[in-house]
This record gives sequence, C-alpha cells and structure tokens, in this order.
Amino acid sequence: MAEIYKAKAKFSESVTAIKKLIGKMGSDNLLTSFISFPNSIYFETQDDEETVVLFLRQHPIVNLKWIVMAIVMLTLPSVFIFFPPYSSLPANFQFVITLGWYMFVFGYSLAKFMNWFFNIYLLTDERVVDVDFQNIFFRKISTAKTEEIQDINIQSSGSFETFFGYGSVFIQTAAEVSQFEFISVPNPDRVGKIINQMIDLEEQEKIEGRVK
Amino acid sequence: MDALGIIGAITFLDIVKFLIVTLLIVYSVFALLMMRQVAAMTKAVTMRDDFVIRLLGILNFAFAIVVLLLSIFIL
Repeated sequence: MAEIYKAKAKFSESVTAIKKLIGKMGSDNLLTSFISFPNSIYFETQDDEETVVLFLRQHPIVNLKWIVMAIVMLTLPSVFIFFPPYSSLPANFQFVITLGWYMFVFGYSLAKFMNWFFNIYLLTDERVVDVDFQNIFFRKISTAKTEEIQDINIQSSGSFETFFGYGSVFIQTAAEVSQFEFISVPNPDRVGKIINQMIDLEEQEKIEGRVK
Repeated sequence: MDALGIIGAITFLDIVKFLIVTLLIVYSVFALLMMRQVAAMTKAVTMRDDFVIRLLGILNFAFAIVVLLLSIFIL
C-alpha cells in the first residue's frame, strides 16, 4: 500500500515538473487548436494517471478553402434557375432539388469540419498520440512512448504558413509507427521545444528511477 | 398493361423523380454513417461541449430524412 502512495507522489512530482517547465498556454474552448494542460480533454486509451500536456489541431486558417467553396456552392441554386433543364422542371421538382442541394452543401461542410475537428495531436506526460480522421470511413489512432522518440523535424514553408505562424512537426520514433506527422499546427517551434523538454524530462526521470 | 406499355408510360419526370429519390436514399445512408462516426470519435476523444458536434451530425441525418420523405410525397 505504501508503495502505491510513493508511486503516486512520484507521479504528481513529475507532472508538477512538466507544468512548471511548460506552463499554461492557449484557450480552453471547443475549437481550440493549441492548448497546454487542457482541463476537459480525455482520450479513450488514456491511463488513469496520464496527463494531457499538449492538445493540437491544424491551424483554423486551413479551413478557409472549404469555407469559400461552401459559400460558392450555396449561391449556385440562384444561378441554376436561368438554365435548362432545371428551369424547365415543375416548381415542386425545383423545390426538392434546391433543398437537396443545400443539404448536400451542409453535409460537405460538416464532413470537412469533422476532418479538421477530429484530426487531433496529443502529447501526454508519457506518449505522443495521433488521432487521424481522413474521412467518414477511416480513422486511426497511433501512439508512441516519449522515450521512443528519436528525432524531431520542424517545417514551415510558404507565405500562408509564415504569415499565420503555423507549420508541420515530424517526429521519428522507434515505435511501430515510425513517423508522426503533426501537420499545419500553430507554433511548430514551440511544439518542437516542448517535445524536446519532455524527452529531457523522461531521461532525467529514468536516471532518477522515477519512470512509471 | 404489358411491359412495353409500362415502359412507354414512363415520362422524363418519372426518371428525374427516380434519380432524386435514389440519390437521397444514398445520402441518407451517408448521413447515418456520418452520425455514427461522430459518436465514435467523440467517444475516442472526449472534449467539453462536444455535444455540439454530435448535434450537428444528428441534424444532418434528420435533414436527409426530411428531404427524402418530402421528395417521395411531393414529387
């Protein structure tokens, strides 16, 4: 029993050390794309004593393309009306087709939004978690322990990425998934620095015998 | 009425109606899958206020069913 308390004390000690090192960053709302130590984010395979250190999503600006596309698509029924065969159809057919089109645009926007919303990158005090959501038929959750991280590459290229301050972080690991790609995340330099700090801390814990 | 008579009685609007209803059935299945996937994803990663996204999935499916029923009854 005493050993459990000792282990818990060591665990809280290591989380406190990470909190001290990284601090609180980002805003805690549903659409956030960068936050450290979020209060209300949990994932299915999270251990009881595991803490989410960093929660990342793609920068919101990546949604601009599909938002513009959806707006253009919304205006199309007002153009259809001038062209056959749509213009030659009875009013009830035109009504259903228009309603169906708006429904399709809503579905398209929702699918694109979900693609952004559920593509999540997590960094916990123990591992890296990559939640991939490519389309409604495909989802993948990959994890690698912090001690398995071998190399980190940060890439920010292009005018948009430079202007809005986002980029990609590539993490090479010795785990089954050899590369984790945090694509178009805000503050990639800070993310890289945090991962490095986590690796250093993990090594320090190993030396001090505080590894869980 | 023989088979040729039935085929001959099919109008352009009947074909359009058939296509619309078929497309809407396919879309409804897609919307149902999307709703199920949203539920699975919100279970995989739990966030505060994520009921909003679940609600959007349900709304999309409900919208698809309403449009499907509407197309069956008013066309």
